[in-house]
Amino acid sequence: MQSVVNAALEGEGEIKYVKLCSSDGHEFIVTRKAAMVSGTIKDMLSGPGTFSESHSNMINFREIQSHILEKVVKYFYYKVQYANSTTEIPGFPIEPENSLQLLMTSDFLDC
Amino acid sequence: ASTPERGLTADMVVNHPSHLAARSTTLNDIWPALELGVKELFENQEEGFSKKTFMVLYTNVYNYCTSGKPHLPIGNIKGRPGGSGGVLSSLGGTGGTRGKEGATFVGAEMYANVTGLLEKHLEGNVKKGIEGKSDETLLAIFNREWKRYTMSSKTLDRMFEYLNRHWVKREVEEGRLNVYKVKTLALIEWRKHMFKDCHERVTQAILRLIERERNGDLIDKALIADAVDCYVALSLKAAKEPTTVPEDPIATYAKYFEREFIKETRKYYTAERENFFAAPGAQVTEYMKKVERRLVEEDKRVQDYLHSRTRDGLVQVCVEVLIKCVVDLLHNEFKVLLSQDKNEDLKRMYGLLERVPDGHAPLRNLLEVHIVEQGNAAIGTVAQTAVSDAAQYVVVLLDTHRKYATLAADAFSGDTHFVASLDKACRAFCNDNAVTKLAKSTTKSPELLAKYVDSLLKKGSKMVEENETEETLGKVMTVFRYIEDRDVFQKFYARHLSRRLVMGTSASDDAEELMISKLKGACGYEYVSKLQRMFQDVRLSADLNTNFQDHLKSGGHGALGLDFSMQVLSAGSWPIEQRKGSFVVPGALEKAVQRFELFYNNKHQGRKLTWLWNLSKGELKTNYLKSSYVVQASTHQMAVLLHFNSTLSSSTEELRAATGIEPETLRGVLGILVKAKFFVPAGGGGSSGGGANGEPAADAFGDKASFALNTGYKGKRLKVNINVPIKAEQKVEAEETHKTVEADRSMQIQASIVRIMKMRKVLSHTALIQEVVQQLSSRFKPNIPNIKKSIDMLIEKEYLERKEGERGMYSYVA
Repeated sequence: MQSVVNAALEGEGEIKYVKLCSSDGHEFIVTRKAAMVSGTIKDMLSGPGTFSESHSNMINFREIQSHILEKVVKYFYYKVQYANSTTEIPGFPIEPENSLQLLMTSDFLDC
Repeated sequence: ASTPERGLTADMVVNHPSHLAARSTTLNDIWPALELGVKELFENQEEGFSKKTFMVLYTNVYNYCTSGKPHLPIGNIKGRPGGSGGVLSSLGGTGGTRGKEGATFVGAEMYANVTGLLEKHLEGNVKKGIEGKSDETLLAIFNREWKRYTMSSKTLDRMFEYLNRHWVKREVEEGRLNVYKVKTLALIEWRKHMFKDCHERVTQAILRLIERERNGDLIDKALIADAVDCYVALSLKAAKEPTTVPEDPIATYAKYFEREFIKETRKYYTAERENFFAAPGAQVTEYMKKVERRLVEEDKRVQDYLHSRTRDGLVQVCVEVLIKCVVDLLHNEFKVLLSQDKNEDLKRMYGLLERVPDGHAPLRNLLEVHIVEQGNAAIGTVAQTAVSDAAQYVVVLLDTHRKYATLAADAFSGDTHFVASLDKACRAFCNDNAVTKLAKSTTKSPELLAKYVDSLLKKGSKMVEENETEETLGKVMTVFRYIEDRDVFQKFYARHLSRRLVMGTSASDDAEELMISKLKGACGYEYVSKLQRMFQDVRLSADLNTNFQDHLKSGGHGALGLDFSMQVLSAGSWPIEQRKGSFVVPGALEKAVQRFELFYNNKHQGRKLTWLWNLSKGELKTNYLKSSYVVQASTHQMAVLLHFNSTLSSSTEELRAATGIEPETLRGVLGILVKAKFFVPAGGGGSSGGGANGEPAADAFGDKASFALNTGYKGKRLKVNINVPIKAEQKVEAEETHKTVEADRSMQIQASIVRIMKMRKVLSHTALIQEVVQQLSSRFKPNIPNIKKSIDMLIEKEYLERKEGERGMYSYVA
């Protein structure tokens, strides 16, 4: 499994997936497109990539907890699915106990 | 960002100690790491910048910005004297918009620090690299540093994205000057510290390189291209500065480079031009080639490594320096080139002068004058012969026209203005040239043209055999279009046509039709309506003839004893005057004539037939000579000859009485007969010797002169045609035609005046004349005195009247 994942990450040609790591070690593998929803991640992926050859395509978020990060990832996919959609868009459920941290995280990640 | 479900606002977040901003981060906490990171970013690009570091730094920025406590006392901000205002105002200014807590967006210090960092970097490392270098090395280093700097500043911008997003935005919204997003800040710092100091040197380096290229060296275009990019980039960003003029988006480029460049170009080309003409034997044609080359070169230069917006200014300068200043020289040369027929050079000159506004007008005038000269000269050389030789005249006109038409199409790319000049010139020399002067009549041209067409359409013309009908007639039409007095042409043409139709000498009906359709195309239906009716008459007559023959066969009145055919012409359409003659129809013909009249009157009641004996012809067979000859003769001639069936000799007087032919005509007839050796003057009246050419002397045809049949006639051919038109008759005819033209014209002028006045009711004198001229322009050019005369005539006839109280106004009288 790990080898498959690695292969997907260190992709030849187009890189399709990136790995987002939370503070407590959870690794979320998401499509590049989804990750790009976040402005910060987008910058990181396209920025230093220009002169650092070590594409690990992995970003550590040492300050973000995994349950928050998980929600954020869900939001990524939600956004990607419904952006420019003509059908009725369902709401995105947010539990109130996460809302504060989610807010700050979204501010941090610009998404 | 995702929508909060409860009314959380950003202020509460910022001030709330949270998991993310675990500690109140002071600038001093994070700055060293930041500083190091940024330094590395700018200086060690090759090694790369890991995501991890980026992440850390970004987080630091975030932490600091969200920590919410301004840590330095106000007024103690490094490096940016204006910066403190930001913190102050955000303290106070937020009150109005955000609620009473006065949330602060911290960032001023960091911003100041960043600015300081950039400054240090630029002043220190980058500048040092440029010291003391020049030209290509300078450019190379400058470009390299610029590239690196831009790349790094991009990353820098991303790193401080949080700052951008919040603090900077706030400051800008509040109208704070000199606060920008980090990437703009980077550019501004570059401009301030690097560009301001070395832009002169860089510009000079670029200009020197360009000069070298103009002189023929090869240079590294990429150097210039990159440097130009830098200038343009600086301008684009700097446009955000409220202080710069917003209209010019690439102000920096324009100001620091373009201006110098244009100046330099101007100097360079002025020098080149002067050098060229200072050298002995400088040819304008060579100069033009050079200019052309240079223009192409400069265009390419702009494409290769300059900004496209420079093209206009550059071209303008080049054109001004290289072409405008020598415009007079070029015009003079134009004349020379024309006379030498140097088409290629002419084309080049046309192209060059196209770039100068209004550069063509003098050329056009020169061209027109030249063509008129050429046309007149060409006609002048052949004037003597061309007066009578229609073909030559037309050919010469066509030649000149063709030569300059090809020139216009070729060298001047068919420019409509030049073609118009050509037309004007051709019109001038077609209507007013040596031939018309010789003939003392402006209407000689159309007359000759009509004659030419006649020769083409008559039997025996080479045209039909070679199947060039369309082409030749087309050429004729070309000349026709330039003729001003078209009605003259029409009259002559009608006359020639009627002769052809009556005599049956038309070469081909198709050719005739073609000509008529062309004329219709050029002048409209009315012009050719009469001509077409003539054709119709001929066709009808053919039918009539067959009917008559059938009638004779079936009628049982007995054969006529001779072949008889006739053409019935409707009087209005044919330009033939009916002469009241006292002609006595020879006995042999009488029966036929009567029978036909009977037949026709039965067919069409109420029509009057008048026989045109002067146009009729017939064939006689000689029975009194050893070999029988067939003589084709006109009816008059026939009458005279037939008279000799009863007597062997006769006097003029007798002949006159017998035939009823007028004396003048009789004279001509007898002249021909004598010339053809059918008659011999017998005894009586005056010397029997003739005039110089064997023509009988005038009084040889006096009343008392008598003639006898020449019994010893021997002709070479068995078929003899003595029905040749008499020269004198022809001349008279021509004059008659002119007279009818004049009469017709005055009629037309009057008709036109009445038409105009009917429409306008009231019109001033000058306006009326203008309208008349315009209306009649397609037919002929009316003479102003004639128009005046017509107006007076119409006033007499009470079609018009002078308006009382207003001078020079006429009004229509219904």
